[in-house]
Formats: sequence, C-alpha cells, structure tokens
Amino acid sequence: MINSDFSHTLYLGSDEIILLLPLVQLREGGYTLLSVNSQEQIIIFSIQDECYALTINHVVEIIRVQNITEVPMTRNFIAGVMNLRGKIIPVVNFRERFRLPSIPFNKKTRVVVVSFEGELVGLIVDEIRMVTTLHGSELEATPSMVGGLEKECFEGFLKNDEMLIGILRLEKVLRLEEEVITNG
Amino acid sequence: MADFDMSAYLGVFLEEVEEQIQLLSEQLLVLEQDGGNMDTIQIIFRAAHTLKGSSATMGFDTMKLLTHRMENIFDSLRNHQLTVSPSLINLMLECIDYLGVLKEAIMNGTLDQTNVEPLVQRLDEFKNQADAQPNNQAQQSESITEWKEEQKLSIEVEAASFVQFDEYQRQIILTAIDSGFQVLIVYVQLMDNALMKTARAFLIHNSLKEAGEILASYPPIETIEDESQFSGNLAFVIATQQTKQSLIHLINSISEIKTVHLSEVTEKSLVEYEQGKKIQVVEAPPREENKENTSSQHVDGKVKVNQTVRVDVERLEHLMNLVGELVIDQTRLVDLKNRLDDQFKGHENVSVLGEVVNHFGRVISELQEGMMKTRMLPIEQLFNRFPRMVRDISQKSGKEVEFIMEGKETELDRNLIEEVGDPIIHLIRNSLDHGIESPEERRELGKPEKGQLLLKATHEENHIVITIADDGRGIDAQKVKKSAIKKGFITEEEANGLTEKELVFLIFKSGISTANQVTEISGRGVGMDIVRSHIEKLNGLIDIDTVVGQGTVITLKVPLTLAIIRSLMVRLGEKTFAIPLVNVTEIVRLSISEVKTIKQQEVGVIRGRVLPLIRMGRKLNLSSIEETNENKRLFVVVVGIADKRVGLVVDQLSGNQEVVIKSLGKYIGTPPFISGATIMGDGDVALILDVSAIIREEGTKVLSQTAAETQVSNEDQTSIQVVAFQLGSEEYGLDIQIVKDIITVPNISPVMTAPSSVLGLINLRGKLIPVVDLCKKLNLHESRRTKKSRIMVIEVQNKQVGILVDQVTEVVKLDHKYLEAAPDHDVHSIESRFIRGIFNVPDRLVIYLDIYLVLDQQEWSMAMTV
Repeated sequence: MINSDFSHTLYLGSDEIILLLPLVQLREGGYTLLSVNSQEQIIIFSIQDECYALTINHVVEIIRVQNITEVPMTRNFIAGVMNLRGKIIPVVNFRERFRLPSIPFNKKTRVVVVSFEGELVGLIVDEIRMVTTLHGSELEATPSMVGGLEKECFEGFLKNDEMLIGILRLEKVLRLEEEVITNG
Repeated sequence: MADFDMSAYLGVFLEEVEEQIQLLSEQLLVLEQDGGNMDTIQIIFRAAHTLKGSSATMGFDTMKLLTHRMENIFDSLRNHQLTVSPSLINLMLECIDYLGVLKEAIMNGTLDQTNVEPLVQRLDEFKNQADAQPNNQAQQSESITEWKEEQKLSIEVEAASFVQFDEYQRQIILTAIDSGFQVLIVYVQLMDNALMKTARAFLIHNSLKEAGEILASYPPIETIEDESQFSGNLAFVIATQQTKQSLIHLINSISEIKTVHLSEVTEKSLVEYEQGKKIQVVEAPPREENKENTSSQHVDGKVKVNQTVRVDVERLEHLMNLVGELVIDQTRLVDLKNRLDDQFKGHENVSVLGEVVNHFGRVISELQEGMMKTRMLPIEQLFNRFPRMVRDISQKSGKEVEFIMEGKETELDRNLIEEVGDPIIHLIRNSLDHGIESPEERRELGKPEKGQLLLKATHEENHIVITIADDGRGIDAQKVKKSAIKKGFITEEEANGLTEKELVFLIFKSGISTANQVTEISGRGVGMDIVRSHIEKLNGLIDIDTVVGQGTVITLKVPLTLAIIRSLMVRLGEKTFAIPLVNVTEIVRLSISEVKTIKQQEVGVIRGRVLPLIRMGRKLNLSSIEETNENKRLFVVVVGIADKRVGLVVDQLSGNQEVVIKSLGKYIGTPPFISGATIMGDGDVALILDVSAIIREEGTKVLSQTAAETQVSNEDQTSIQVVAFQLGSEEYGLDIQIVKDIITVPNISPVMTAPSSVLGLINLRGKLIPVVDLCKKLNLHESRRTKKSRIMVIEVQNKQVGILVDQVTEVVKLDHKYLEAAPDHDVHSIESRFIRGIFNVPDRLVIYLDIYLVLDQQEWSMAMTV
C-alpha cells in the first residue's frame, strides 16, 4: 500500500503510522493540486467510513488523541486546544465540520496535525487508512455536495478500488464560508 | 593608503552620543536650578567636548559643528563671560533635541537632510555677546602663553617607536625639502584609556593628510588597524607648508590625545633617521579640557564597573521561551512525583526522585528569575525623560514645580518600560496642567508657591508600583459628576447614588474632563481613557486618592513581566481555569442567602461594596456543578482591573501556580473572556480568563446599581453579620467587621514576658500577631486544641490580635430584633461587661462579645509592640 518512493521517514507500527516531516510552510495563495502534474503524496483517512485525503505537504504529524481542553464560545467544529509537546494547538473535529454525528474517541481515532497559515492545527479523524501517491491525471471532478461538506472544500476525487476518495482543500475546510459562531 | 572605514565604530559612537545627550540634558536642568555652579558647567562642558570629539572622529561634520558651537557657549559660561539665563537654557535644550535628531539621521542615513545652521547662528549670537565682554581677550592670550610653556616640558617616552627611513623615503624627503616644504615628524601619543584608538589614529592621519603629504607612518597602517597590537604611539612623516603651530592645533582638536610632538627633518638630521632614531618626545600636556576629560572618565569608570555584553533582544526572547518550557516541564515533574509518591509510598527511588525534583525546581526558579533579570532594565531609562518634560510643561503653563523622582533604580521588564511610559506621561501632564495651581493661586490658598510633583517606583512582590503624586487642587468629584452627566455617561439619578470615589473614577471614561478649558497640554478628556486602557492591557490596577485642595495620588500597579504570571487556579465543573493573581483582590465565601438579585443581576456585598457576581460557568456556557449545590456557599473570587471590581463565582479553588502564558493562536480566533492558555502540571491545557474582558462587559452594568446599594444597605440596618464560634459547648459571636482572618492554628512561638492568657506569637504573612487563649481569658474550661480549633484574627483600632477558639461555626446574619440586652449578672463565669448582648434566635443562643473589653490593656499593648 505504501509507495516505495515515499521520500519521508515513515514508521509503521501495528496500527499506527507516524510521519516525521519537517514543518511545511503553506504556499502563498490558493494551492491547487490539479495544476500539479507530477506525483503527490496523500494521506487517506476515513470519517464515517467515507475516505478523504490531504496532500502530505500539509501534514506535520499524526498522533493519538490527547486530552482536549474545550474552549468556550468558539466555532462548533473546534473541539478545543491540546498540548503538543509544550505548544498549544487548536483541534478541529472533522465529524463536526462534516456535519456528522459525533462518536466517542476510540483507539483508531487520530489527530492529523497540519500546518495551516503558519500555525499548527490538529484534525480529529476516525481512522488513518494509508499513505499513497496520487497522479494528477487520476483526479475526477467534484460532485455538487459530498457528505456535509461544500463543493469548494474539495480539490477533486480519486477512484480507488471502487472507493471514492475526496481530496480536501484545507483552506476551505478549515474556514467556513460564513463564519457562524455559536452562541450556545 | 585607503581611507579608513568608520562603520565598525558606529555602534559605539551612537551609544556614546546617546549617553552624552542624556547627560547634557540632565545637567542643563541642574544648571538651570543652581544657576551657574562651576562643577555642573564643567560636566556639561566635558560632555559637549566629548561629543564634539567623537563626532569629528566619525566624520559627522554637522554634529561636530553644532557641538563645537555649544562647547564654545559652555566655555564662555565657564569663563564667566556669559551667565545662565532661561533663554540660554532653552536654546541649549533645543540644540540637544537637535542632536537627537542628528543621531536619528545618522542611523537612518539621512544626515544630509538635516540643517544645523539656524541653531549655529543663534549660538553664535550668544557667543558674540560673550565675546563683547572685556575679559575675554585677556583670558585667551593667557591660555595661549600657558600652552606655549607646556610645550617646553619634555620627557622621554618609554615605549618608543623607531622612525627609520629607507633609501626611497630619503629621496622623497630630500626632494620635498628642496622644493621648499617642511618635513616634520609628528609624534602622537594617545591617552592610555582612550576608546577607539585606531579610529583616533586614523583621524589624525586624515587631518594630517589635509595639511600636507604624508610620506610615512610608524607603525605601519596595518598595525594601527589591529587594535590589539596598536599601543597608541604614532609617528607620521609629513611634508607640509603649514606651520608647526597650526599642525599642533589641528591634532589637538582631536580628543583623547596625551602628547603631541613635532620635530623637523633637515638634511643633516636625516642621517640620524636613516640609522633609526629613538624618539624624543616633547610632552605637551593636553589642554585643560583634555585633562578634565580623563578625570571625568575615571569617575564614570568607577561608577559603572559592571561589565556588560550587548545581546540581541530576540535571543533573549528565545531563551525566555525555553525557560517557559522548562517551567511547564517542572510542574509536570512535580505532578508525576506526587503520583509516584502515592503509588509507591516510601520507595527509596521515589524519595531520590523527590530530592531531584525539588532541586530541579529551585534551579529552574532561579533560572527563571535570572532570565527575567536579564530582561530587566532600571526604570531610570524612562524616568530620565520626565524632568525635561516637566520643565517644559511647567514653563509653558507658567507654573512652578518641584519635580521629585524616587526609585529610579527599580527594574522592570524592558517591554513593560515602553508600555508604562505613555500612561505616566499622561498622568504627569494631567498633574501639571490640572493638578498644580498657578503660583498666584497657590499663594492665595496659603500653599507654597512651588508645587510638588512626585514620581516614585517601587517593587511590591511581583509587581511594580508607580506613584504619581501632586499637591495640587485634587479632583473634584462633583465636577466629574457634572461632566459625566453632561456627556450622558450616567443619569443624574445614577450619579447621585455613587460614592465620591466612584465619581472620581469616572474620569477614566473617555471624554470626561474637569478642566475648564482645553489647553495644548491636556483637558480633552482622552488622557485618562488612554491610561486606563494601557494599564488594563498590562493586567494592571489603578487607584486614585484625591483630596480636593490638597492633591492627588495616582497609583499604578503592573506585573513585572508579561510572559510568566502567578495565577489562581479555579475549577468550573470539570475544567480548570487560571485567573491572573494580579487581578485577584480577595477570595470570599458567600452563602446563597447573601446573594441578592437586582435587575436580573446577582450582587453580593463584600466589605461594604456592592459587587456584581458573575457565575463564570454560566457565562462560559459550561456545565457547572455549582448549579446543583445551591445550598452550599459560593466561592467568590473578587477580581479587579484598574478601578473596577466584580466577583466571579467559581466551583472550586485549586491553589495558585506560576503559569506561562501561551497564545491560542489566530486560527481559533478570540473567544470571549479567554486571554490565552497555559500548560499545567499534568500536561493538560488550562485556559486563562480574561479578567479585563469580563469586567469590561460588566462595567456597563455597574453604574445601574444604585438601587442595589440602597436596598442592601437598608437591609443591613436591621441585621448584623456575626462570626459565630464555639468555646466548649456555648456559642459566641463577634461582629464580622472586626474579624480579619480565620486560620487554622499554626505554630505558636511562646513569649517569655507575656501575660498568661497569651499563648505566644504567630507569623501571619510576615506579621507577628499575639494569640490569646479565649477560654483561659474568659475563665472557662481548659482549652483543648483539636482539628477544629481556629485562630480568629481581629483588628480593633489598627491593632491585630489572634484569639484561639474551639471551633468557628459560621458567619451568620442575625436580626437586631433577636438581640437581647446583656444580663446584669455574669454568664457562664463571663463578666457581664464583656457581653454586648445575647442573640436569642429560635433554637440558638449566641453570646455577642465585646472583644475590645475582653482583652485587657496588657494584651492590646502586645499587639502594638509587635
């Protein structure tokens, strides 16, 4: 499953993938996959049995869920903040963001730490599926609405063993079109 | 020979300029005060001279020009050709300001945009006045003769260098002599302690180059460039048509030169030089000011013996962050140790771990303190700006002010120095403009004509307290009230319900001013608003004490550093939050019955002040256990920012802790009432409550609480709050007003000479307080100390005494109607005069004691002697 030309150090435990990557600076402006013809590494994870992917240059590391301190009166999909080796980083619950019912964390739950606009942000996902290489040409167009997410949140889709994988556009996923702040 | 690049010395030079400018402006103000004290003039003269010298060295001609003219003026002052006058001081201060401008221009490379001409002209006018004085000529000629005599003194210099010509040089010299040039060997010895020796050497070189052709230099240029090898002895061979006199003059204009000697090379003497000649140095003792220069540097050198290293602030910030991380890890370690303690009680390794953790903790706190100190600067830096400002303002507004500064050495974080600067400036301006009256007015009021303004900085634990006090007219609460009503901040009705102090605090609202007219200095009413917002930003407190006609004292209290703060950890439901301790004024427990609701706002009366109570759990939309335990008493943390106070209702208190403030980052946005986060011992994140935001929100409601006040106070008249306690099986009561503290029984140190009822002394937060065994005092049973025993610290007429009681039962509000007069006879062997009355509440008898009478003179006097 893991591509051999994967350039970063990769440790594979029994049920765990840890990627050690240097901190990636997000590229200026909107980053589009489609314009890239060469190969891209992607991380595939699942939420409610649907697969989604993020390109690896966004991802800093993948860790288990830690204690998350809820921050009152923030956007509803922000689960809170957690302590990442002495740094305090916000954590987004993807289930909330995808407008899916929450489930209690289990041993497969992971936090994908990404670099977003110069900050680290944790993303809670149900499970990490794999790391693979994507060829630009394999991308398909986005259906109008997928799950609870808006169309703009996707770069495109990838068909893999009869499974449709949505490649996420981070800057859209992490920001709401209209920022709705819950007043609880 | 290439021209010398001065850029390497620019930093040193700029610092020197800064220092001298500071010195000049300080001393000028002194000069203005003492009107021509010789010592002061000397200091100023030296400073100007040093500036002239170094700016010439660096080739900044405009600065040299200006300082040179200034020096001239000071010279005239020194020679009594000029007298100190306000116009002179003003001009000099303008010059100093312009020196600052020049310095900036040098830094920005915009020196060519500056123009010193107007100032130079004005300086020259003064100088011409001085020159018109008759004694001028005499003085000058006198100094010239003196100077000539000095030249004749000759001594041999030990560290001699050799001047030796090769054939090529010999030819050139001969040619030069033939063509009518004078060939001179210029020996220069720099002062031993001269700074920038190399630079000075090159300056000499450059000025000689202008005067003639340099044929050779000893030691060679390469050696001069290396400061470590260069001894300060120089010899130049120069072919010139100028006179010896003018050359000496030229070189002497460079500061920090010890000796200059010229010797002429003739065809005859040339032979000697070919063989190498030991230098005969004729020492011309440096001109007078040079001598002074050395001595002043000696003095300065003694004062500033501290060796310093200049460090980039960013590096310090980085180290500070690392220390922050260490502090976090250390709290985690302590936490881990405690858990291991519970798990493996008494295991050898655990106790070793304990030792290590303790030591680690100590080292880290020292490290943290040390780190903090490196970022600390004396507040002097800031304070030094003020005398000048005070002078200018008081002159402009025609007031006479004696400005006193205390605690200049008080150190605080360098970032904070910048931050507190603005508020202090505003407050000083206010004091000068509105506070201190004009001399005439003061005379009429029977005050000394000269007003006093005091600026003081002191340390108080982890805070710095800055006091600005004047003896002016004070703040008239009624005026503030009128202004506030006029501006529509409060209604007349609301205003009538406010206390004087609350009215005074209204000046912190934007737009309120008591000044009858707006002046250039202040009166627009924005100043105090700025002060408040600045201090709030720093998590600080403001207090105002003012008496109309007598003056105003404004106190600012800000934390010493911004990165690490002591916090009170509180729990709301399952979650821990931190409240910066600087904002916490006290923690009290209120029973539900003491909480009143007025206009949908819960309030509590704490020390006579009606405070809005905020249920933090509800405010933050947290599920909180507080709701379910309505019968229990509430923990109320009274917090304050600047002038406002509110009570925060929390579920639990979990001690105080040093926390490292971390930002939540910009992605998460700015959640209301949260100012940041910190990592606790167990690795979890705790949020830091933004006290200023909470108070700001409540602040608007505070004013509408007049009704609350009256309602509560009405109620107060019918009942008394009593601390009920037990001695044996009987219940007694004391007025809560006199009970300052209730504590568990600490170590009591016995006192030899004390009355038998006095158990000894306890140390309560640094104060020694005598403890009286109340049972013994009242001739009751022998007291037994149990877990429930408490010491109640009572305060009567500013004296504190602790009384030991068997148990404190509760604080209760008792209605006056239950209070029965004390019986004529003794009650339980207690003399009736000690009893103020007996509360005969259903199912309960509380003996209400008059503690002041219970304790006798001897016991009270102990309180005083300690």
